[in-house]
Amino acid sequence: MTDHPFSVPRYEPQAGPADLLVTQYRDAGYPAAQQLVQGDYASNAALQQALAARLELARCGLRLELRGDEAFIWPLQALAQAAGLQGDEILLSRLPGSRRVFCVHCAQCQPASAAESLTCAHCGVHLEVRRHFSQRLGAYLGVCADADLPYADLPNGEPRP
Amino acid sequence: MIDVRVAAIHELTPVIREYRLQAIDGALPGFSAGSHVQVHLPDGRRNAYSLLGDPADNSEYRIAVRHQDNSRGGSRYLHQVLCSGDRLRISAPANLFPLYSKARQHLLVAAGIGITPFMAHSRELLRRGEDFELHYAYRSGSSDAYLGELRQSLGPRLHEYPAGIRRLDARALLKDRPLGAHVYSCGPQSLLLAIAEQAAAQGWSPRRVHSEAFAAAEPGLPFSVELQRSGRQLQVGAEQSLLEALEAAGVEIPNLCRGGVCGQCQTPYLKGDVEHRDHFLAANERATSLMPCVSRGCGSPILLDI
Ligand code: FES
Repeated sequence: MTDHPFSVPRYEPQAGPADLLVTQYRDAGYPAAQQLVQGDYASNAALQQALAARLELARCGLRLELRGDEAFIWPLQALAQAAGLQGDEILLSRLPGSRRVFCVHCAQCQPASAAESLTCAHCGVHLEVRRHFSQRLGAYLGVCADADLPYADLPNGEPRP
Repeated sequence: MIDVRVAAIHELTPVIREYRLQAIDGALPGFSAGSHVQVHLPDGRRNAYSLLGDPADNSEYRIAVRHQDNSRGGSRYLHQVLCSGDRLRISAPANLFPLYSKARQHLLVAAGIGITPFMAHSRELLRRGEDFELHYAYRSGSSDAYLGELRQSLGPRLHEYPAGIRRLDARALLKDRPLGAHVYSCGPQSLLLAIAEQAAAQGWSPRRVHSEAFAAAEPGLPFSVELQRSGRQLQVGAEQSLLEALEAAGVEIPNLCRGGVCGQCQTPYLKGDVEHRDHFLAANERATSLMPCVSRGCGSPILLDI
């Protein structure tokens, strides 16, 4: 966890392997019937549907592991909790990769790297990514890095039309 | 504090009576299913009882009391002295046993007089149209309060375990439940433990497991305490709890359950031998904290850090 440049929510440890694994990359050590792999689905929406269908039939006591980068994990976690899983019944294995950033200026989410700043793909404001994480959005908050120069990254420092 | 009048007393079984309480002036505060009130007894004691009426109806509060032979007098007073028309003083309702709003299925498990909070819960769940079951272990003719009423209102949602005929099997009860299930138990400690153990064994998160113990202080041997800050010395009688002794001396300690479960009355102490009887403190906290509503001295005098 220490190799993350940003703070991540902490979860209680739990024992034993999960009963169901949803992962970005296939785990050869897991029974095929017990894992849902991103690559097997046409889209993330299809994968989410498959998980929802599994949880609908699942019995109380099920332990779920979500493994992948943050952009992959958070929407699935929200889905699993809505299906009735408790936070401590879900094991989150975060892999480095993309995460989501919510721009507070235009209220849009976008994928981002672990870098501390980026330019909002929607409104062009130069954002500093805060440590604040919104469980609801599954995203880190991005706020204007320099109020005097909000569009520092644009060629002439002007907003997009 | 609310002053109420005993509007009616009903004998539900030879050992359980129901008391209907109405406000002397003004209206009673509303309450949520699972709430309890503390009843203040003339000798200064306070006992907690679940409100078993419909939470949508606050024209009166209903409590049911089981006569306990070994009780320190609370149930004896209510059963033998209190009459219809008498005044009583109660605390405002507090809820330590609420329904979990996101549950997809609620499993209510009662033994004997532990049925009381579930009377309110099951009314609330019926009104909300939620998925639930009530599992009720009782002894026919003595600890089977409200059985007829529950059979009528709950139909197949009621599962009965009459003593000597059908055993309540916690393992079977929790097996094969949908993901959003929550279990609530109320009754003797052995029932609560059996449910909690089975839930853990079947991989349930402890956050799905809710319980309310019969919260009442048990008598013990007399002991003495000293209050560090004021230097005062107090004697705690055999039939009295430390919390009651403090209250009698004018020392108010926050409290809700008066049964060692809610954690409200946690009090630091500096020395002395303590018999910890609570279900709240972790082992490492017991060296410096005690719960005066149930725990007692058992050797060298206790020095409280208050
Ligand atoms: S009053 Fe609840 S633990 Fe003492």
